[in-house]
Amino acid sequence: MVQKIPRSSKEEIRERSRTQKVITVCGIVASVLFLVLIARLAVLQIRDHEKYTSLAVNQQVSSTEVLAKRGSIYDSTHKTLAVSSEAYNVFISPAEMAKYSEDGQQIAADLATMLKVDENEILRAEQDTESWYEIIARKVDRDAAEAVRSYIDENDLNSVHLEAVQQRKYPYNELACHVVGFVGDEGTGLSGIEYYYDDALTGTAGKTQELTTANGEVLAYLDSGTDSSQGYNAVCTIDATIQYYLEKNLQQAVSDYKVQNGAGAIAMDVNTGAILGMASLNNFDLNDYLKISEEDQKKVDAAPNDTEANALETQARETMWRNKCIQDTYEPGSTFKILTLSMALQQGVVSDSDNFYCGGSLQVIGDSEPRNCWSDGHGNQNLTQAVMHSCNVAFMQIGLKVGADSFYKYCDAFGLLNLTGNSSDEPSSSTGIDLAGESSSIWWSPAVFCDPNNQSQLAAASFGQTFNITPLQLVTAVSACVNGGYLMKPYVVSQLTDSDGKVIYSHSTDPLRQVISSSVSKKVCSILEQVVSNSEEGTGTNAYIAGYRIGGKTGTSEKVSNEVETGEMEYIVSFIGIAPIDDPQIAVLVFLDTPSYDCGTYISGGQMAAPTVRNILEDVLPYLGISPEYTEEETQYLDRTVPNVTGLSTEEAAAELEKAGLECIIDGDGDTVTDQLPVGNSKVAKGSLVTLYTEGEADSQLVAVPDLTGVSYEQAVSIARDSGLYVCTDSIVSDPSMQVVTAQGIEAGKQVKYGTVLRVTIKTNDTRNIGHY
Amino acid sequence: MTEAKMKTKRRKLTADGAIRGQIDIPYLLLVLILLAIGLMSLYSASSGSDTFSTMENGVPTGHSYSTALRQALIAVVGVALMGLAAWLPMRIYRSRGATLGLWYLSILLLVAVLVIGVVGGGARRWLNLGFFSFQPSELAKLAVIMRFAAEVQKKGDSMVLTPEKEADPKLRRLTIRAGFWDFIWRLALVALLVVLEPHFSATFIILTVAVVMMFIADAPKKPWIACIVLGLAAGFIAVHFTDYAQERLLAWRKPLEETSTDAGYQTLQSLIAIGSGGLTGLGFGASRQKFMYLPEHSNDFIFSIVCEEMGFIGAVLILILFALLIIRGYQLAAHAANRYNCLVCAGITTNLALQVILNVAVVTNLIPNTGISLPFFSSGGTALIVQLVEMGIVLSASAEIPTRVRTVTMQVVQ
Repeated sequence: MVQKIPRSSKEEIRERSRTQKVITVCGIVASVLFLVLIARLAVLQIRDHEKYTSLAVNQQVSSTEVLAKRGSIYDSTHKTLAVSSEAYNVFISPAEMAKYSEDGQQIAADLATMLKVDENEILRAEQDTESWYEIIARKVDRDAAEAVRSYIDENDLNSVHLEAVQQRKYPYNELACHVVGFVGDEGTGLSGIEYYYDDALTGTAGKTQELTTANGEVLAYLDSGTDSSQGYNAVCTIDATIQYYLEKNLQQAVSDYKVQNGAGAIAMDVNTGAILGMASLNNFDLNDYLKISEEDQKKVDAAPNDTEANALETQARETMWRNKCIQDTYEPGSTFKILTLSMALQQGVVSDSDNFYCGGSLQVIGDSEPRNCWSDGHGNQNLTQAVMHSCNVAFMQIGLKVGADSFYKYCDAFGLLNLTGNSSDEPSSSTGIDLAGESSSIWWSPAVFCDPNNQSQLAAASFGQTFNITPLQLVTAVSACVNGGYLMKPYVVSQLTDSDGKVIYSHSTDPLRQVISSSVSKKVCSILEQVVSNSEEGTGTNAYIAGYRIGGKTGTSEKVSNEVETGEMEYIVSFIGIAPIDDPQIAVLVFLDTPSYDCGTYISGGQMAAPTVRNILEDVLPYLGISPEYTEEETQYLDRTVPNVTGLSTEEAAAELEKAGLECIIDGDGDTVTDQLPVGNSKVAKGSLVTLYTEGEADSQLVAVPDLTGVSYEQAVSIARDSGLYVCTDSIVSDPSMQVVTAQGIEAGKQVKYGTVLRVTIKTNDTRNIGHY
Repeated sequence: MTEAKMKTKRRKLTADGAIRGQIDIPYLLLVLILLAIGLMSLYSASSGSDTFSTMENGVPTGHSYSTALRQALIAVVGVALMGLAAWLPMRIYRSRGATLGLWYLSILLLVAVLVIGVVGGGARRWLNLGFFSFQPSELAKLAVIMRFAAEVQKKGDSMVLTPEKEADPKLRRLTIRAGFWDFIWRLALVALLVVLEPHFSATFIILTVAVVMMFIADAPKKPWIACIVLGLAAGFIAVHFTDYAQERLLAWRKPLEETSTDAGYQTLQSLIAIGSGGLTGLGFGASRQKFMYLPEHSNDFIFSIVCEEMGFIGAVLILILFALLIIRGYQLAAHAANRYNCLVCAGITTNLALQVILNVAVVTNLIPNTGISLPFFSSGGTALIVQLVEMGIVLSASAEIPTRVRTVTMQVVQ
């Protein structure tokens, strides 16, 4: 069967060449197609490389954010004011719920019981089936998160998820709430230190980048991940103890004087500008910073509609969050006289021997009528007396002697205003403290203030009216007046440390400038001491503390703008105290915004703010390790401690009691003391009569507590004695005949055991100085 | 003994009087190189999902080499069979027994697969032989090539329409019957069986190879061209009226859009793999797409992983090797000792060329996704063994090329 048809070799050659042509065409076609493929590869692999690489990375590399732990905030004694811990948000993904047809009803019911949230809220969140992320519980703790996790695993759920977040905890709740500030749901600081130092506290979130399989298994960790670095810790100048004393005493003043519009207190280290404490009432709980006071909540609940309720709620929160010490400005009133005095002394325009006559009023160029002093007239006064009396007329004279230009220059130097601008601009300034939301001062423009044809602004400014500054600015400037003349920048964070404790930032306590000389500063201090210690003429004697040398100045400022609005005169009463005035360390300013007329105390800085400052200093000074040094005059009226004499012979007991400055009566005929009243180690007022029993135990019948309020301490002791009771006080007794009981620990009429010691609060009943000074 | 004597001694006369010489070494080398690269690529491509095939406590415990090892064993068998195929003289293949045996076996298996075949990817293409699943369409390609070549050789000039025959209606009719009808019904039968699976790409390849062979054989052109036109029309209709094809067509046009179809996902992942490889690639074994992103990473889309790992440079080198093998195959066909050898070589080479070109065109999304494997690379026992046997047959044909032609004409390539 091979080659049936013979072919000529010529034919065969022709046939072969035809075949070869066809095959060559096939080869060429194949080659061309290969070139097309290579071109296509070039397009994909070279031209579009970037595009496909990014698509590849998108699906192959998954990033996991590693949260940086937010730094803690510590007080100056390293107590923790704010700390972050890990918590979890539970969220559902309605989209996945629909995709995997999971039982939304059941899930909602289970999660609601597990997380104690409203089941209907979850059901509502499940409605939005487009959504992949609906948070149903925020910041649940680890245990709750574990429960949810095992619930997810057990039921093999795709639509319930957990995400790690941070929870900010404030162990002291309300303490220093305005200074510490709070952190929002998103983890960013919203106020106070939390806001101002947000970047430092936040740290840097890191991320890990993993190469994964399509099913999510991790193949490798890529180098492109970044480490998270924990936020820095902030160490505050706030001392939690001092802060507590400030808040406690300020709160007491607010309730005692029925203060309407909040109150503030600042304690500053005068030599560094460090804020030792800063309180602004009312407080709120940092752990629940949205919760408004019950009183406000009632108003909100009573609102007729939602819009109004929301507005009320927002307003209540804003007021609550407001740090009055730095966010409010006020006319400081007479406390400002410290500055007028300082500049006048520095300027050399006044001296001790100058006479300042006060006839009750003074008219200056530009005033249509004379300006009244707060009293009918102080007559002839030297400089110290003028300050002691807080005489407005004298200070107008002093201010005029300083002159408007110099006055403004000094105010500039004290950091109260800023003269670098145009003379027709209002020269506003702030201290630059490291807290969120500081307000700036409000002053007349230099053009107005320094007008030689109108000295009315200068005259008013000399006693602290017609301009607005923040309470912090006042404390800062006054500190400069008493610390040797150096203006310090106030601050609340002294250090930032990293997680290893290494100090990253340290506040420099270099003074900004010296405003007055140290000798002038000394002179100012000695005059300020007289304001408090001169019991005859001083207006600040309510701040006097036996055993300590205190300087200070009262202030009662009219809220002028408010008067215009409502017609009712409202005041901010204040007192700034400096201690020890012979070596100033701490300045404490207390201001009470709008005390009530019906509180029973005359509205003035001397009557309201000065005792508050005294109470604060009484707490703070021993805490700071400054021990009282009593003069003999001061010790004679102090309360006594009863020695334990039970078991001693009557003679020995009497001698012991005499040594302690107490007298005794003996009940019974025995020779040995078998019992005593009051019991050993109790504190009682001087002049109390100790009862010694020589036969059996002390009397134990019940007696009614007498009403002691309103009587002098001296009288209280004798009234109590008549009932078989004793009194003592935490206040310092300097003059029992002048100090009046304002409150008693056990209310009148209550039955107590015979011999009980009644604790009372006393206050100097100073009725000599009635007026707004 | 001198070398010349050895050569002379080894030469035997073939049945047609041709002398069997040495097999074509360049062709053999190209096959072995491609096979080696293919096996390495398969190892890399399959190692990811093999490793993750079993998990214990979140740790993958699978053997990275399970697919590759199996393929390597098949390759060993395949190379042995290739050697056997190369050793057998072409007359054995041309024998009526071999040709018809293969033909009827293929038909039988194609029918069997429609009845008892295993479904995979929406088509019934595999016969499960227990240890091994067999794809009859692969064998059918070879059967068509062998049968057509043998028929052409047998018919000789009777199927060539010369101008003289053209003039005589009877002769013309006889010639067209010999050169067209005798072939077309056989082709139609096979194509029908394959398309029923359905396996469009195999159908297309079988038809194209057959038509190319008919042109090389100088069969009457008009009816075959008419057939091509009809075939294209049928293809067009098939594409437009079946959901299966429509889905793939959509995936082809918009691969980068979010698509829920598997084909679209496959294409997108393939493009990502190729594109992210860039010029130089991520390095051998460094593919990321093989970790289950690209589902068919070891089969039809293995070339994408090769592109990802070896980059443009590596991919082009591999394409050049394939191109050389194809060109060499056509050269061997062009210089074959006789028409039968020529047509077998040309048919096998065209088949190989179509496989490679269509596969790469699919993975680069030049054409819609159809199921075409890449010779020597894709995992799959039937294809590899049939492929290697085909290479062996070409080598056998190469050994029968007359010495004169071999030394003069082919020096250029060698």
